[in-house]
Amino acid sequence: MKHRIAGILIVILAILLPAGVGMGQNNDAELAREIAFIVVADKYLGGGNSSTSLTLYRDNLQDTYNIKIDQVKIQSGEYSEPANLIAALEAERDSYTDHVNQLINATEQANRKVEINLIHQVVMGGADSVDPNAPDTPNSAVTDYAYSVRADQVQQTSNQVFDGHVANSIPEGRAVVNAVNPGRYNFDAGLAVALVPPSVVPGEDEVTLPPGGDQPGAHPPGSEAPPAGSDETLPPNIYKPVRFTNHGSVGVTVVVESYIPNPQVQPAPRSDASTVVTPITNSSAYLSLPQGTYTFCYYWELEGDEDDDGYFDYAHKVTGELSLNQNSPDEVDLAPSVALSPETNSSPNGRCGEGGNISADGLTPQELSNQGTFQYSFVCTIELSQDSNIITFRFTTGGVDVSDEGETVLFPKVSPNVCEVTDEGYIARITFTDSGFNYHAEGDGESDDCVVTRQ
Amino acid sequence: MKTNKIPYFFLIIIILIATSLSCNLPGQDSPTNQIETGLVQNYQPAISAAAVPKYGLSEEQQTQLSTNGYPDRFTILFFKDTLLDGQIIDIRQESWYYDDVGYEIVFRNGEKFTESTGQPVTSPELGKTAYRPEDFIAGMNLDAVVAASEENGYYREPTDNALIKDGSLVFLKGLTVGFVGDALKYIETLPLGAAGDPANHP
Repeated sequence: MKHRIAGILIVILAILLPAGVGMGQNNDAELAREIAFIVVADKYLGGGNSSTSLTLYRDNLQDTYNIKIDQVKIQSGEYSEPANLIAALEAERDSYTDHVNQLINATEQANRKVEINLIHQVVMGGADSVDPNAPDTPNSAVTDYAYSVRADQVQQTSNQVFDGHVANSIPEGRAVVNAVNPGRYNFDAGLAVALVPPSVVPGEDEVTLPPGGDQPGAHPPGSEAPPAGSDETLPPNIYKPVRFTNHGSVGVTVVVESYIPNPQVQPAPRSDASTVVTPITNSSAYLSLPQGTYTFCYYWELEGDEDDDGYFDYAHKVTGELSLNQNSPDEVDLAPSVALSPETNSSPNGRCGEGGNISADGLTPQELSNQGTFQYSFVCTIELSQDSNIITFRFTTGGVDVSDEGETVLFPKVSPNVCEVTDEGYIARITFTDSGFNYHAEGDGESDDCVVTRQ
Repeated sequence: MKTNKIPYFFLIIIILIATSLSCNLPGQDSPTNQIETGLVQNYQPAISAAAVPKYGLSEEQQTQLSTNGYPDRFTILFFKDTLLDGQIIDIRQESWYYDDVGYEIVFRNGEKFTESTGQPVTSPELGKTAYRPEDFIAGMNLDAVVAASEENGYYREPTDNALIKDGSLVFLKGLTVGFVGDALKYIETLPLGAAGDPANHP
């Protein structure tokens, strides 16, 4: 019930809080944002402005990626798929650049006066030492430190974060980071501790501090939560691998199309993971997913340009159902396999989630099939019982009005089939499907996913 | 029993709107320890320093302590990253600096990620922090940070929303702290002036 209330609050807060917040940040942008504090603090410690610091941060980020890209180009024979690696590095570099440019633009528009002299007094001697009548000038000890020591520290820390990211997130990333910085990193550092399934790691926002709460040394060394395998609080592993076998002649990208949690285990959020599956099965052609019943969508690039728009055409297909339960193997080699059959001569129907033909109203078939008033049944990760509800969807130029019992909320459209309300870290997202819609809400360390079926 | 999902949202929206309006009525007292912006003095955390949970240092970190002692200063970043198989992981990245010898060691979730040695680091009034890395854990709130620091005040500055959504930077004696919402995301020690002399700190 606690989770249900939290899930509801997530949506409410998203609606109540001011609008105008960017939508759909990807994980890359999120990473750049998460470490932006070290850059933003320059404004207060160095007495400069965040725009300058962010510009240096952006340029440093670009340099670290460009060095890696050049390395792959020069030593392409060292990599099995250099073109893919370069493309992945370029995509991340451009994503970060775009994101930090947005931050720079936002910063340049903000002119709020900051009382740097007060901050410097607090840092040097504590808040109780502050003399509000002190001269309105920065303290030179702090500014000297910011320029002479901290500036290098910020760039170095940023490089370490993104080297680690490339090493662990991009195929052959470890090879290129190691080529540029031989032997500098232990890429596996911290992963074993971090790979506790997310549903059982106490969320950062869930850390509570009651009197007499966690005492020093309560957790094993190097962790803030019981490690995997501990008998303290962890349920059996709810994650199971699924392999994919590509019987076609082109590579495909696989994502989860639908997910109904296994009611026998602790519910987990729907996975946003994807994997690329080549015709010659690659070792990474699997997903580790919470137990449940799945269908998968996979898409691939077509040879021609049927609509002659100068862009690649794509096609996608959806697989049959696959169930993962307690008895499913934990080993990847023994995992159930899903057969994929991309056809290069298919008619283009877009990538997964893009729907097929767009109607004259600009609606996808999935949106059209949900337009109007219908009864829907819900199956959610937080509340596993089946509920039903009557909802009206009315599509407008800006999104979709969602009405129920006389109340209406606008969910702005962010991409075909996807409408989302987001603010202040809270997200509520509707993804329309042929059979209804998927509902996702998250924020404040909580999340809920529902598969909603039209009756 | 059927449960309507979206109507619940609307109902509570109305309640919250009414609540938020009533909270803004003039003359209404602010709750104790409400998070304030700007300079806050004479602040009393709701919990004691002893009640604040601590991080358990890893064996590698304890070895480092026995060899070189506590760092002169350190930073801790809490962030998420995505692995090749799509799993999202939580990372606590700690950078420990030993300025006298120009040595830096970086830990990820307690395991050594990298290290480097350069020139000794010097800066006017730069001393040694009195804080310890284990004093801070992911997600702790401002009240807990103030309690752990044993300080009686801070300066809080919200970040531009477009820059860090719902973010704020908080400055205490010898510390810069970053929050998203009320969850700790970043810690940086600043052992300058009185904050750089452990004898002047509890």
